[in-house]
Amino acid sequence: MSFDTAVILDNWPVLARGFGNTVLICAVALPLGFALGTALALARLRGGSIAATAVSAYVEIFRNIPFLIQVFLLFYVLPMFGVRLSPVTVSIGALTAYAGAYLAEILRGALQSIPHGQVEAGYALGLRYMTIFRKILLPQVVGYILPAATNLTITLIKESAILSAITVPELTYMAQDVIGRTFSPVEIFTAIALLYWGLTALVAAISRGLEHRLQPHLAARRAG
Amino acid sequence: MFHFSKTLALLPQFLVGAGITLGVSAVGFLVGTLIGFGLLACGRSRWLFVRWIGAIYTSFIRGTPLIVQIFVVYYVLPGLIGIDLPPLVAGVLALGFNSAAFVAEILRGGLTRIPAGQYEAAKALGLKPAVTWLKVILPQLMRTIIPPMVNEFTMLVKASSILSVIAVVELTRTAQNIMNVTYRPVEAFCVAAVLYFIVLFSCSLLTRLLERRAQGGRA
Repeated sequence: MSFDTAVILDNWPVLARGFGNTVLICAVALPLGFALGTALALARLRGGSIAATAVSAYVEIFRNIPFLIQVFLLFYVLPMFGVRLSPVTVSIGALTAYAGAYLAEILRGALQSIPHGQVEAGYALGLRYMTIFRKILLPQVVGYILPAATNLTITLIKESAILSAITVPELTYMAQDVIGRTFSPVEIFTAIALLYWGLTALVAAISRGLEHRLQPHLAARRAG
Repeated sequence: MFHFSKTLALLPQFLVGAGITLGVSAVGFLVGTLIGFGLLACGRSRWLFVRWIGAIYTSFIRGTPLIVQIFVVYYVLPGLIGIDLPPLVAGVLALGFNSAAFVAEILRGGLTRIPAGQYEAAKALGLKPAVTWLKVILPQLMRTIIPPMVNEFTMLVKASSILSVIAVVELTRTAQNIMNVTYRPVEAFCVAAVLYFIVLFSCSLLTRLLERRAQGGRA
């Protein structure tokens, strides 16, 4: 069996474009997913019983249906209502909705772990809930959710490969395109596996760096 | 706007697909558990080289998308071993290889919760290592790992939908096939989504129940 690196080098521009699209889609969907997840978590904790039930239904639906099915449903449902979006937009929407569901759960757990006395103290000082949330709760939560948020980011990068099924020109789709022309699955799949591996390793490394800066007290304890 | 009659008439096909989804996930889970124990042994090996192989394998599996792993097993592996794999076999193997990395982590985590005193006590009683493992460690390990293992199984059921890309006719592929007959994609995927939800939600309820029971048992 031969391994022909020339195939990878010849098709490098195509793979690089796919890699760029993967990074772009994730980079757009991630902050949107965080915003959605924060809104959902707040609605669940503060919005009364109807909002709480609605949010928990949302979370359970998105966590208990495979992402591929979610993507297909979004891809085929929207045109029924006359909404015609490009596959890239659909995929950003799908990743956002998916990340939002997971992040809502992560945030809820983190927020519930902060003693309620802090919220009461904030009220006693005359602060509104949103101020308490932004100035007191969120700074504490950020360090706490970092490991889970990193896992979610890596999951998102990996799930984005599934978007190849609806012809989004991300890395996996581009790889299949190249293989269709060159019949060299071994080289191309090896190349994109390494690219994904590198990307997720980079995310993990950045997260470790952030963890040291956000929680120096914990990092010191771990080192000691 | 929605017309479910044609799609629902094919419900038996969906149920067969769901059965294959469960079957593929279950066999993949078994393969994964076996390899997972192997990986665990690699991680505890005396030789640095073996520990490295285990670590690189785990890192690779956790760092690359499952769809790429499936393609690698389906398109690349036959070239390496010289045997053509049918989609079903390749799919089950890919699921097994994938879940092994996660199972090994679950096992490792479970083992750290067993106090060293257990090993020492077994040694003091003159038990052989094999007996210590089978009669002392494994029963305790089982109790702690069952909830995360059920969770891992639900992850596999979700992941198995990706096997549709190599034409394993499980639930997702069945929905696609039915869509091609009825021209009703939304209805077909809705039925599939409901079936997935029923399976996965009941599994996650089971996980929660087991977790609560495990905590109750220790308190």
